[in-house]
Amino acid sequence: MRGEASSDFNTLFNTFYVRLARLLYRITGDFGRAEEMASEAFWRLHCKPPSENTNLEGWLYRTGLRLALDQIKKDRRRARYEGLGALFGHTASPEQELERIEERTRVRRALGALKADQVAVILLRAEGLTYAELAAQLHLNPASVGTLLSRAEEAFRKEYVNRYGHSRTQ
Amino acid sequence: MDTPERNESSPDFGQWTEVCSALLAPPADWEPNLNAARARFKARLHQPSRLRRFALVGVTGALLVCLLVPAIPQARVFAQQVGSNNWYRVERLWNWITIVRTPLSFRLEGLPEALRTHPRTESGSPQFVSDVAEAAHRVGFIPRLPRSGIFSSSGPVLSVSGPLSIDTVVSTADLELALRNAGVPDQDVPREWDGARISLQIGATVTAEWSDVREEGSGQIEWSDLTLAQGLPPVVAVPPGFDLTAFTVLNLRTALPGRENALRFAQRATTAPALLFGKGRQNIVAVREVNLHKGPATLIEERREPGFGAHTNWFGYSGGPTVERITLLWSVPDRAYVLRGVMSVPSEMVSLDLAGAVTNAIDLANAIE
Repeated sequence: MRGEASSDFNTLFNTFYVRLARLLYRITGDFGRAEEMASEAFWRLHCKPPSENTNLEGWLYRTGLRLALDQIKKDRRRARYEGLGALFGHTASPEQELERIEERTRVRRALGALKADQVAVILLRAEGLTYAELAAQLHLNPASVGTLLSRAEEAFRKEYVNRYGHSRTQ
Repeated sequence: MDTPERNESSPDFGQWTEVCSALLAPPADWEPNLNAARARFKARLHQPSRLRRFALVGVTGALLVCLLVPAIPQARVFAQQVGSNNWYRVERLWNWITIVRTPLSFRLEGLPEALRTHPRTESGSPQFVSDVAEAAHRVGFIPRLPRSGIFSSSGPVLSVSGPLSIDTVVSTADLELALRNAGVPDQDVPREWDGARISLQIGATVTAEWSDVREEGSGQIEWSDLTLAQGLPPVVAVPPGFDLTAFTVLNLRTALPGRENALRFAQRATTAPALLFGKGRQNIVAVREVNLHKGPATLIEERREPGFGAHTNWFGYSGGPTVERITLLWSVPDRAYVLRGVMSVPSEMVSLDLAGAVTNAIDLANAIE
């Protein structure tokens, strides 16, 4: 990317990096990884931009979310041994905090089983995007955003209940 | 435009989803570091591409092979391979006899929670770093890694964690109860210990992680994950006049038979804090002593997660736990190490396979430069 394109890219980076990193935190639960994946999404955009240069924000959201969801799958294996903290330097948490951590993990895992587009619509909505903005960012028909969101929420709920039954988040 | 257009055929899960999503929201005061991200991005732009690096490594490797292979008689190469495998087998057998096969004198299964720990300062999330130099810059010491060629794997992925401090307040009543439950009724717990605050302070640590590791020598051991953490030796702060060794011995006696055994582990700079303050002790099935080139180390075997611990063999009875993780803890004057491996294929206890994994873990620890 050179010249004007490079300037556009820098503007995009400055505008969306923080927003993307905060969105990806919802999936990763880890500041470092959220930033790392946000950077990776921009890197991919830089190296191999989509053929159509419209709605690059939506492209970044989808790419970043896919990276984060892939990471969740990898983390499932990693969670089996929980790193070294389990034996050395891992602190015992108060019960409530522990429960919150476990609940977050359950929510992330249930989300991780959904389609990337469903996760995107749920999390971007949680980030405060309006239906119109969701439609614009994700290339959706504005009239069907509500239906898609409902279906995504229903799928999320079913996935959660299938895995964990009812919980305090009810 | 923002009309709640819902699918009428299904219940409205919106509120529930909002609650779940709110759980995942980042802290309001967290601001991703845009400047650092820009700097990393620019640095990445100037790095040679991965393809180019692979090509360079490939060409160099091919050149070396072309130069070296004709110079070495095939028989010698073969003999070296056979020798390496045979030496591994000898080591494995030796470790089976001297380490794995010996009666399990220490079983921490069900170690009572005599110590209730509270974090005083949190280390925060690990921060990934690009290389050893950056890790050294962040933590103030140069991390040591196993020499190259000891195993094949991608990585390592390096990360650093900040200092950590954990407190515990001694409850003599809890300790006495734990000792009684462990069948050690003859030990007096000094009254003056009650209410004493003990603090474990761990400095910044560097963690190196490898995935899908295959040991180079024999090629027989595979680790799905291998992690090496290191930092300055942990410091345990106690009130003036408090006998930390005696306290540690009494705590370890709740799980380890014999005062001598407890005393031996209580005197280890890295092992004692890990056993006392660590989490996940319920999965520990054995703690043993092994010797590294740099001195003694503690070997901890952990079973698979509860529910998978026991297995049924061909004869229909439940066998012992299956060991999935092996941890080595040791320290040298300026560094404490924790090496933990998750075996790709869990091993039965007291098996040659487990001896092989232990042999490999010791070799890896000895290869740290």
